[in-house]
Amino acid sequence: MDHIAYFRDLTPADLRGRKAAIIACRSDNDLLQAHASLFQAYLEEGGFLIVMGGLRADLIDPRIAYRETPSNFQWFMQAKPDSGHRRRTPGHSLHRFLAVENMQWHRHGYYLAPAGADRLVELCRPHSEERVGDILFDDRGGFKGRLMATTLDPHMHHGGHYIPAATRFLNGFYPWVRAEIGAALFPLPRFEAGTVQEDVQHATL
Amino acid sequence: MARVLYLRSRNRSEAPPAAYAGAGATLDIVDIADLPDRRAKRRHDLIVIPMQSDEVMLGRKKAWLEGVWAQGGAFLANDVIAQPYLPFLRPFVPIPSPSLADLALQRHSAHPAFDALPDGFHLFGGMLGVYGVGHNPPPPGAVIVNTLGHGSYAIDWYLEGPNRGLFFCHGGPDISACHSGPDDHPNLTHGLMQWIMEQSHKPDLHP
Repeated sequence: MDHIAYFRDLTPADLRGRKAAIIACRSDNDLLQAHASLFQAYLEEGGFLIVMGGLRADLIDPRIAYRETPSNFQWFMQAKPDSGHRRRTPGHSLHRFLAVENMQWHRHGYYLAPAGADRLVELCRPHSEERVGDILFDDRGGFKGRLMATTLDPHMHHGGHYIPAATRFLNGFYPWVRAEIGAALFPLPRFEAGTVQEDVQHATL
Repeated sequence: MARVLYLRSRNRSEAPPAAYAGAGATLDIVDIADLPDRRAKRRHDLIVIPMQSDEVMLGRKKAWLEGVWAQGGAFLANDVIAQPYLPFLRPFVPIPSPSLADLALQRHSAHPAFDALPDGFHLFGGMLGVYGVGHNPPPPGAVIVNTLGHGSYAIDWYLEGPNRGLFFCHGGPDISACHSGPDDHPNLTHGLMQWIMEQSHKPDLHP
């Protein structure tokens, strides 16, 4: 990460010139609402904004809908576990960095992505292909820039040390982001299981 | 009636976990950002620091927190600590590559809030590892209540303050999620909150 901004202190200067900006999971939606125009301006200038789980991307782009759901914490303990997460848009570059197995854990609601968005992880009813909504999507239709949103909350669970898939998600996701913005791929940002990464904790705020 | 302060970090529309409101005390909710920047007179019998708290902002309120502690304040703090907000706290140490045996909970010291709980109270819907996967290292003088695994990681400990007061540390996701529902008897969160407040009001904590 080239720059970390404490969400409460966010200013336009923090976003100026940044090829990508990530709002880490479980940040404050009240602050997101307060900063919405800042993020919209960033997107209109061509920025790439990534909104992680626990946050309401619909506060930035009203074309997005969010649906609350109970969390299915014990989904993996079922006799034939199925998170309902399905890989979509198979040609999307993210799928070269992340398998769908590393984009699934318990659910915190879902989105209904805007028309034309690349749906990357779709939520279906378990053991079926019946669509429910979107867990992760990538949209270029609302602004000059790009808005990616997910209901997954990998930073929080990486920091909590009890969902290894969250650590694997970050270890695939951040190299993908660097590749997307043309940054040097090496040295790879590396999230280690079993460590507390202060920068990630900082970024959650 | 006792007064409990719940420190909120985000999303004003979301209520605190219900367990914190049912401990026979009034529950005041304050955004951490709205806490005083300086030492102030202690006004609450217990301060709850829930999981996923804004430790950056807690750090900015260090003077107020240390003032509460010096005045005999009592705290129930949850979650891993990344950025310590009181001098005796240290960053979380996870169990390296834990096995299921490493996630087993053991009682280290008798404790009235935990003693009557059923075996497995720490399982979250049957899941090991949610209660804790390491510890916020206990400071010198802390009483260790529960440990995890072969390495005896101190997932639950408490420290008595310099002027009465008590800091209870649960180094995992919010303790209100464990055996603290309306049908859970005893209710862990209620029992723990009441015990902390009783202890911190005793004239002499050292028998």
